[in-house]
Amino acid sequence: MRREASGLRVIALCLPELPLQRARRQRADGCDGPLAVVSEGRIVHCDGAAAADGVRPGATLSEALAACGRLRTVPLDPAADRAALRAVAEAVLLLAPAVEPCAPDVVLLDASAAGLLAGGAGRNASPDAGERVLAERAIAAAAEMGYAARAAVADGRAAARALVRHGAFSARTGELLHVAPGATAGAIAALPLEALGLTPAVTARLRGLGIADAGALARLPAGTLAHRFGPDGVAAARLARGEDDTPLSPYLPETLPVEALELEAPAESAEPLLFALKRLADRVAARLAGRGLGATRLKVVLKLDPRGEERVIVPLAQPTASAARWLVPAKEHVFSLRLPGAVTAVELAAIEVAPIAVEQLAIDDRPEALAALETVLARLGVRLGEGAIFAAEPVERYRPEAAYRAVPFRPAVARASALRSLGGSPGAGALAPSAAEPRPTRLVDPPTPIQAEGEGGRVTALRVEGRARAVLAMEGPERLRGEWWVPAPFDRDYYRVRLDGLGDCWVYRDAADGRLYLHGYFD
Amino acid sequence: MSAGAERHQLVERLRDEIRRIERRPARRAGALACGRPEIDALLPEGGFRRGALTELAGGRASGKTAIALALFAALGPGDLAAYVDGRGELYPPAAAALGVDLARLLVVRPPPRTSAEGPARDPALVALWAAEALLASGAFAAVAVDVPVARAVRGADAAARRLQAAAEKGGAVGLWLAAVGGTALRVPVAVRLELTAEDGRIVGRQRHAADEAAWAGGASLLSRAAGVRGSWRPRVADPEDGDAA
Repeated sequence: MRREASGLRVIALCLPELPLQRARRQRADGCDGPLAVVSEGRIVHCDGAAAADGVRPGATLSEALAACGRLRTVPLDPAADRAALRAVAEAVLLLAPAVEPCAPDVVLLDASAAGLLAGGAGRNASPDAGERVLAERAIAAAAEMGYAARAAVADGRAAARALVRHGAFSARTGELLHVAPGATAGAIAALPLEALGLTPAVTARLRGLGIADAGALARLPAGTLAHRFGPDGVAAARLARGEDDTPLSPYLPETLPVEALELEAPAESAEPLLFALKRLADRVAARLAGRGLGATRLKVVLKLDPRGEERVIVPLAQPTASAARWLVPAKEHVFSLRLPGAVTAVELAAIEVAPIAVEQLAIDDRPEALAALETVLARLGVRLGEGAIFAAEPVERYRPEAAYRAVPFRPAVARASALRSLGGSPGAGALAPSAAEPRPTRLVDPPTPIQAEGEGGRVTALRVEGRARAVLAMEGPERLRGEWWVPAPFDRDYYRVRLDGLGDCWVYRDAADGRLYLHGYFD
Repeated sequence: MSAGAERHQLVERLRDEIRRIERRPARRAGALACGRPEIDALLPEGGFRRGALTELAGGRASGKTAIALALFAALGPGDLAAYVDGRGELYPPAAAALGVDLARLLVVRPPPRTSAEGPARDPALVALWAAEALLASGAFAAVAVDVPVARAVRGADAAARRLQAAAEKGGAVGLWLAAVGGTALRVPVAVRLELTAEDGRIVGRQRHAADEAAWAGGASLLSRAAGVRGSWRPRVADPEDGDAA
């Protein structure tokens, strides 16, 4: 079979009965009973259990309830359905150069380069193996997000979309319908005109002429269509012949992922919460992974019974899209809470993200060490508070006590950025020029006033901690002054003073009051 | 399979996954040299032993912090270090000047009082708990503990004893920075170095417990706590005192 080199190959991923699937997915228990989606008093979607009891799409709500008394109904929410579709599109973003959510229930992936994947599928792989691998990965990604999906691969977006929504999926095809390049027209010939996505007016006029399916439309002479239907007719015939090279409109997510889950019953124990957190973590992680991002900070919101909520921020040491890695710190933080009521719903959001660097497994290249780090940081954070554990970052300030600031401890991020910047050690380079001078390893903050003892205008001893200590040597001064724009500028002459029985101390004379202060130890 | 059974299976799988995640990393062995020959030469294996606590004792400006930072600077590029700064005095710019990669140094400064949960605890005890957690985690190659804690603080003695077991469990080099004499807590350690600054140089000497036999009880306690019997024996932090409690 001839392979067209330049044709647009598209994978269409369909989430059948999306409103129904979304309603079921929102509940932690999976909602076993009959379920239907209602819009304007009529059933628009119903599941198998409801259908078995006689509920049909199009029936009024009262008819449906008369047929099935235990029917649970949820209102149709097109905005939420579109958001759910975008979430799935996020999860498959990394699989293809372009991904486009196509309402109401299809996500399109550009598979034109998927043939390159065939090389990795074994020596005897067929040229189409790459497309199949990609489609199967897309189905798996949707499953990870909690949706059952099926896929079709064909030439052009309209044909792929038509096949995935109206094609003949069977036990033989499974969840994947693959049409070889160039064979699309034959594959869609039996599909009804509605499958091509034509406008209702064009569809009605074609039907009026006795044209019922795509195959019949494809056989019409192009000139006749142009004469009778104008550009719409020509476009319709091209679609029917599988000649669709309209590119995908790439989807770029603008917001960070949030997922929520209602609990089966208000939870008072850890297990249902852990269960819900795991599900949510899988979904948020899949969406982040699709974007090549990892979370560095999560937010868990626990909705309480009867009202109110508790919010927990979970910082992570490494940017990661591994849901398993999030669980331990999230568990530490959430389970340390004392909640005033039972939890009815859980929401998980990635509120701070960073690109997942290749150097992520940097800590001695031991994944278990990364997990151990996450665990111990979470324990310390819960017990001591996030402000008590930090990494220090140099700041270009001359005032010694302001020459560094506390930043979250994320060694992998820092390592990756250091490697990128080619700047060498991230610590030493950013110091203020004064740091070229020796600095004490311990800083006494606030500085302690000390008294000088001397004779003939020479300091011979300093009284430190109530005891006079002879001055053995002295270096200095190093003048540090600045911040004239603040109410309390500083002007200090620093000396390194070696004191008998104590060692080297960092002492300064403050120009503001002329007194001596002990500011540090060269310990 | 019913929904209940499926759910039970999922919960079991989750439990397994969490157990797997929380599994301790492989324990490291050997010794780490700090790169200061005069100090490394004093140590039995030419460096600070992994999985053991070493005491650096000295005055306010004796050089014990500089030795701890020198060890941090000598760590491998993938290794992490932690400094439990109970006094709040560590000056990170000096650490950077000594070659420590600040991005890989975790500073832990316990708040003055933690009263969010239950009765407020002594900050020194909280700092000791943090040190124990860090040492036992297996995530850090070296942990320095600078916590001023008096012997009289209730529970401090037990907390301090657990540090050695934690270091052994996590395979980290533990450094206990101690003041000389006074009422400071004595901590069972593997090796004790006493440091002094003489003419701007750091001079160290190893102090062995003169009455090691008196500490046999302490040694067996530690071995039991760690679950293994080590090849070294802990020695008293303050040999002159000889008080095992």
